[in-house]
Amino acid sequence: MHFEQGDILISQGRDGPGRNLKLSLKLELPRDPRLLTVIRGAVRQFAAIHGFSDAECNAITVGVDEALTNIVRHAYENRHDQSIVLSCSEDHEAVVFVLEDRGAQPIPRESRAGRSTMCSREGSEPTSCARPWTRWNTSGCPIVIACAW
Amino acid sequence: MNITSRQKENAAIVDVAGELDLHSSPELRKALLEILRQKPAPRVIVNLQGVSYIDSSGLSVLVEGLKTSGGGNGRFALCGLAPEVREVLKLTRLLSVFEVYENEEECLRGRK
Repeated sequence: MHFEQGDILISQGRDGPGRNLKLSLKLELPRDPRLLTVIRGAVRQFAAIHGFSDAECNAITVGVDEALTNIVRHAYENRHDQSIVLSCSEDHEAVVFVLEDRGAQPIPRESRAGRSTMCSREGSEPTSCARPWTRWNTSGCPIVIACAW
Repeated sequence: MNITSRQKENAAIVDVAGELDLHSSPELRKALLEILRQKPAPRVIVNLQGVSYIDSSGLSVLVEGLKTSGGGNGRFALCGLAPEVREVLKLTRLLSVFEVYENEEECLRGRK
C-alpha cells in the first residue's frame, strides 16, 4: 500500500458474513497541538463520507475538536506530552467518535454517568440536542460523541 | 496562523488569518494584549476575514481582549466573520456580546 502526504488510513472491517461493510478510523493523537488541524480534517472527512451536510460536518468537527481541546486543557493541564486516542466508527444508527485519554478523570456523580454527548441530525443546532449518554467505563472515562444518521 | 496589525484612522486593526485554536490562540492573545496595553489604548478592530475556524481557546482570547479593552463603547470590535466562525459565536451566545460588523469599512464607520 502506498501512502502520500495527506492520506488518511481508513481500516475496513466486516459486520457479519460478507455484508454491511463498516468504516473505522483510529488515530493516536500526537503531542504537538499544531496537528490539531489535521485531526479536524480527518473528522470532517469521516463525517462527510457518511453523508452529513457541510453544516453538519462543521458542527461535528467543532464538537470533537472541543472535546479534544478540553482533554488537553483540563485532563492534561496543557501538557502536550500525553497521548489521546481518537476512534471513529459507525454503527447502524450513528457515526461515533470516541476520545480516550489517560489524564485526570472527573469524579462521577449520580446524575452524570460519563462524559459523553449525543448530537442528532434532526436538531437544527448541535447544542439544542446535546444530551448525555449513560455510559461509564470504570477503567477510564472516554468521551463519546455519537452523531445519529 | 498569520497575525498582522496596522493603524487606520483612529483604530488599530488586527488582521488574523488561518485557524484559531489551542495552538495558535496564544499568539493572538499576545498581539492583542500588546496593543491594548498601549497608553492610551486605541480602539481595536479584529478582522477575522481570513479565519476559517475558531475553537473555545480562540473565543477566550477574544473575550479577554474585550474585557481588557474595558468592554463596550466600541473600543473592541470584530469584523469579517466567516459563516463557520459566526456559527460558533452564535452557539456560544457570544454574538451579542461583541460588536460585530460585516466588514472593516462598516466597523470603522460604526455602522452595522
